[in-house]
Amino acid sequence: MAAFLADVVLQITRLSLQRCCKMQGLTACRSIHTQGAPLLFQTSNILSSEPMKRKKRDDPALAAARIARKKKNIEKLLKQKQRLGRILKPIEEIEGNFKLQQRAHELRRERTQLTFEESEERALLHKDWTRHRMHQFIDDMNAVHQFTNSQQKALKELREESEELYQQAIQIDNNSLLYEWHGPVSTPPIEGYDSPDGEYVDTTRQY
Amino acid sequence: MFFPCCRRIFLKHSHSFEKTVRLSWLQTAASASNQNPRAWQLYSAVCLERYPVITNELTPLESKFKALMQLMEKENSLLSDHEKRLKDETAQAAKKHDDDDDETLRKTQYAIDFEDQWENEYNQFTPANRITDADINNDTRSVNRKLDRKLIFIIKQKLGEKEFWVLPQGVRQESESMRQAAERVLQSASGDKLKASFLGNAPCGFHKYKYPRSVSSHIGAKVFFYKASLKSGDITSGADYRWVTKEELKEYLVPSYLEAVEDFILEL
Repeated sequence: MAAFLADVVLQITRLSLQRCCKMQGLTACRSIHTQGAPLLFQTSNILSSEPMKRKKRDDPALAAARIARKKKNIEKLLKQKQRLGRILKPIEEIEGNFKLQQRAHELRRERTQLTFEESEERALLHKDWTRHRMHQFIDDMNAVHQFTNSQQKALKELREESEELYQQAIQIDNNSLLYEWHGPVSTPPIEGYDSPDGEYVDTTRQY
Repeated sequence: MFFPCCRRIFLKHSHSFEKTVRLSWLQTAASASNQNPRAWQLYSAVCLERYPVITNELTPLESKFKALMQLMEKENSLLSDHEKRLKDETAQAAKKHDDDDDETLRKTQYAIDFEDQWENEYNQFTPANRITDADINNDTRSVNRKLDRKLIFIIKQKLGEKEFWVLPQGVRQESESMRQAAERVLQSASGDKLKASFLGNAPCGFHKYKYPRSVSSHIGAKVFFYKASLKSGDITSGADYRWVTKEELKEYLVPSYLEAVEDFILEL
């Protein structure tokens, strides 16, 4: 009687079925259940969504038209790019000020009419100047030659005295490569003068 | 009786004389192999320069050409905004004067007012004089003289018996490069408050002179010149010194020395 009751209880509490089966043996279990298939816990995934929709078939003609349109658009863009080239950042110094260009005619000075003597005088002054600069250049070159000769002589003498000292002398001096010097100016600097800073507005455009 | 005695003495002495001579010769030969008395003594010297602070006075040709270039620049230029405004306003004023209009439309500030204002501001500033006190007093010890010229630092140094005006020089010490020696020489000649920057590791000039025969240790001196430019500071050592231009060097230096020095002092 007790064994029969236990079977009934098993039938009701299905969740503990498997454990019971294990306890009592599989044969006892099979003999009780009422379903056709063996009652076991489901291990596969549960599908909790509606079944997939069936894919709508496209009209092949329409699809081809769409692709053609896309292609045409790209081609158009390419053509435009080729026509314009790369768009570069404008350089103000080259392009100039548009507003100024427009009113350049009203900013023009009156042309000075030179007499023959005046233009002749100017030409002669230019020639004098050129001659003066040439002499200056020759003098400078001579001085530089004199200096380099003097240095070469010094290095040669140093080498005769000691090869080691010579090698030290021909090394690059990295400190004097950073050498900087300001001047000369037209009037000497005033000691302790605090120069006033001008006010300015930075109008540089950012690209 | 006298004669043989004398002869004996002489022989005795001559023998000892010969001995000492041979000995001293041997001694010099030995010291020659150690010290080499025929060597030159190496000196590093520094040519410290103060570069021109202000520009040269323009020559007549330069000032004439400068004026011409400025004139041509103006002729080829366009009117500036200010000039255009000034031109318009003067034209307007002339027109107004003709019409004898009342001054209801008078502006607060005209371009010409700006010009007056600027001129006032300019006149308030007085630039420093190009001729300094040192020029007026002809103070050759001042570094502030002849601002438009390159100045060279010379010093009175004792070479042998006598004193000479030279670029500061000193003997190279053992384990010192020529450049390091030059830096040390400058420091000892000027004191430690002066700052100068040396230009390169290579010497820029050379000069040699022989010692008198009484000096047995060396033949003479080989002087290697290094260039340095003055950055800041004053001379604090007690030495007698001068700041002179290239032309003024003639008054101070020995001709042969001057010849070597003139080659590397450039005035460009």
